[in-house]
Amino acid sequence: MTGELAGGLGAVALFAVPGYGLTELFPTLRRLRPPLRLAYGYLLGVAAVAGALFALSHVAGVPLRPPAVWASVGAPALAGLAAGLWRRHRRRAARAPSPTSARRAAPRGSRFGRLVPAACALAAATICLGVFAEALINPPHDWDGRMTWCAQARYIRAAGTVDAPVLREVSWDISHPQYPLLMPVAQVAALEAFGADPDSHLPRAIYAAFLPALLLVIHAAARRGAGPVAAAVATLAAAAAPFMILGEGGAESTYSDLPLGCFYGAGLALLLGARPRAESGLAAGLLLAAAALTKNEGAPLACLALALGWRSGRAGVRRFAAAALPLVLALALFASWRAGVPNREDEGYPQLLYAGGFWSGIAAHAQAAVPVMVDKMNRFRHWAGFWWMVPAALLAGRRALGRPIARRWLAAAAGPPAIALLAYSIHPRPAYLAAVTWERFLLQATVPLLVLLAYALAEVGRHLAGSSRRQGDGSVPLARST
Amino acid sequence: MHGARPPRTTAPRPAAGAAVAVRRRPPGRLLDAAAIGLLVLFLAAALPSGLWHACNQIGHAVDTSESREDARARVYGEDYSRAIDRIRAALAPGEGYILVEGGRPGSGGVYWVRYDLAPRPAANVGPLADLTSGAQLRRRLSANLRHVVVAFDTRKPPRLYERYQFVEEIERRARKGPG
Repeated sequence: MTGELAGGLGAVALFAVPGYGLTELFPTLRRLRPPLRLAYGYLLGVAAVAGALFALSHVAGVPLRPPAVWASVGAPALAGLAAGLWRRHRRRAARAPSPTSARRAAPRGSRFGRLVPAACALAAATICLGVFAEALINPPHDWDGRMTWCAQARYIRAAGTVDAPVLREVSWDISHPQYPLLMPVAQVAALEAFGADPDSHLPRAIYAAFLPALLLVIHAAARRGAGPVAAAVATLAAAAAPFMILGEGGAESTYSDLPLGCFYGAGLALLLGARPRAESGLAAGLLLAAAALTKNEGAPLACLALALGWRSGRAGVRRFAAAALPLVLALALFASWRAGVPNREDEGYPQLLYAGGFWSGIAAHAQAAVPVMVDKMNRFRHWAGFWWMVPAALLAGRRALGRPIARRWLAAAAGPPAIALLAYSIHPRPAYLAAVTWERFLLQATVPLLVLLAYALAEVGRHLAGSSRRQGDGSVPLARST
Repeated sequence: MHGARPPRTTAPRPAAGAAVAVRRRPPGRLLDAAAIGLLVLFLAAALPSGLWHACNQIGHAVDTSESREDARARVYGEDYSRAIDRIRAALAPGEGYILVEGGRPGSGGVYWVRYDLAPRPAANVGPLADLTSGAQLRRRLSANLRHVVVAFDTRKPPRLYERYQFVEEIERRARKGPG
C-alpha cells in the first residue's frame, strides 16, 4: 500500500509540479489561491507533458521513454521556477510590496456564509480522498478503461511511440484505434517515469486527481457570479452525484470523459473571465488543445469554447489568437497522427452526415433515443434525483440566467448534449448509442452546468431572503456573503 | 377604466452575486420551494452514501496489506488472474495471438483478456461458435500466429491453446454438431 501511495502521489506530482510551474508564466493563474492554482496547474501539466510527448513521439520520432518524459516534465517546471525567481528578483529590486501582502483581506461574511462553504469543502474533500484511495487499492475495473484507454496505453508504452504497429496495422484487433491518445500518453509518462510494472495502479491516480481539479474549477467559476454559498452548494452537488464518482466515465473510472470535462470547463472559465488578456487566452488555448487531444468530441467543444470566449476589440482579438494557436496546432497534430491509423470499427460520422441521414433521421432517431436518455437521468441509483433538482432550480432562478455571461455558460452547457443528439440522429442504433454515451456527455458539460446551477441557486437565495425579510427574519440562505 | 397599476413584484436585476432580496408572487415562491426541497432531498439521498463510500475506501486503503496480485485476484477473480499469469508466461510480450470469443457476445470477456495480455497484439477471429475448421480460421487471419486464446465471460478464466490443438478441438466440435 505504501508503494502504491507513493506511486500515486508521484504520478499526480509528475503533472502537477510542471503545471504549477507553468501557472507562474500566466499572471491570471499566478494570482489564484493556491488550491485553485494547483488545480489549473494539474490540468495544464497533463496538457503540457502528455501533449508534448504526443507531439515529440509522432513528429520527431522521440521514444516514449524516461529521458523524454523527464525532459517534458523538467522544461515547464524549470521555466516556472526561473520565471518565479526572476519576478521575485525584480520585485525586490523595485522594492514593491508583494501581491500577497497587498492582497486585501476577504470581507468576513455571516456565520452561515462561512460555515456552509467550509462544510461543503470538507465533504467534497472527503469524497475526493475516497476516490484517490479507491484508485490506489484497485486495478482498472471499468468497461472503456480496459477496452480502450488502458489497453492503448499498454500498446504504445511497449512500442515506445504513439504510432504503435498495433494501431497502424489493420490485422490487429483494437477498440477505437483512432481515438485521441492524450490520456493513454499521460499513463505512459507516469509508468515510464517511475519504471512501474504494467499492472501498477499508478495510472489510476492520474484520473482520480481530475475530480478535485474539476470541483475547484467549478467552485471558482461559480463563485465569481453566484457568491460563495451557492458556489459551494453547487460544487458539493457535483461531488455528491453518484454517477460522477461511481458511473462508467466517473471519477473512479479510467474513461476520458471527466478529463475532457475538466479541460473544456477550465478553458471556458479562463475565456469567460472578466478581462480579455492574451496570456489567459494562451492558457485557455493549452487546455482546449488538451480537450481536442483527449476525445473526438473535444475538438468541436474546444471550437465552441473559443467562439464563446470571443470579445471584440484589440485585447479580445489578441486573446482569441493566443487561444486559437495551441488548438490549431493540436488539431493539426491529431489529424496527422490519425491519418496513419486505419479505422476498424468506429462509426464514420462525416460519411453518415453526408449520406443525408441527418434530417430524415432526426425525428425517428430522437423518438428512439430520448426515452433512453430520460430513463438514464431518472435512475436514482445513478443520479439520486440530481436531474429532478437541476431543472427545478434553473426554472426557479431563471432570472439569473438572463445575464450575458450566463447565456454564454448556457451555450457551453448545451455543447456536449448537442453533439450527442447529432450523433444519435445519424447513428443506425440511436437507442444503443444513447444508452452507452448519454450520461458521459452530461459529465462533459459538468462545469458550465454547475456554474449555471450556482447562479440559479443564488437567485433562489435572493427570493428567499425577500420572503424572510418580510416575515422579520434577517437570514439570507444562499446569496449572502458574496 | 383600469385601476392603479399593480406594484412591481420583482426588483430590478441585481449585479452578479449581489445579495439583493427579491419579492416573488406565489407561483414563483412555489418554484423556489420546489427547487430548495429537491436540492435538500438530493443532498440527503446522495451525500451520506457518497461519504460512506469514501470513508470505506479510505479505511480499506489504510488497513490493506494486499499485494498487487491479490488486488487483481479480488477484482478480476482468482481463477481468471491465475490463467492470465499462465498465458503471460507462455507468450512473449511482443508475440501476437489469435483471440476467440468463447463467452456470450457483448459480455466484455474478449476486451478484458486483450487488455490483460497487452502489449501482446491480438487478432480477433470472432465467436467460437462460428469457427468450424482450420481452413476457415486461416481465412480470417492475415498473420501466422501459433497460439490461440479463448476468452469467456467476466471472471471466467481464458484458455490457451496451441493453434493445431485448437483446430482439432473446433473440428471435433463441428463433427459432433450442435448441442
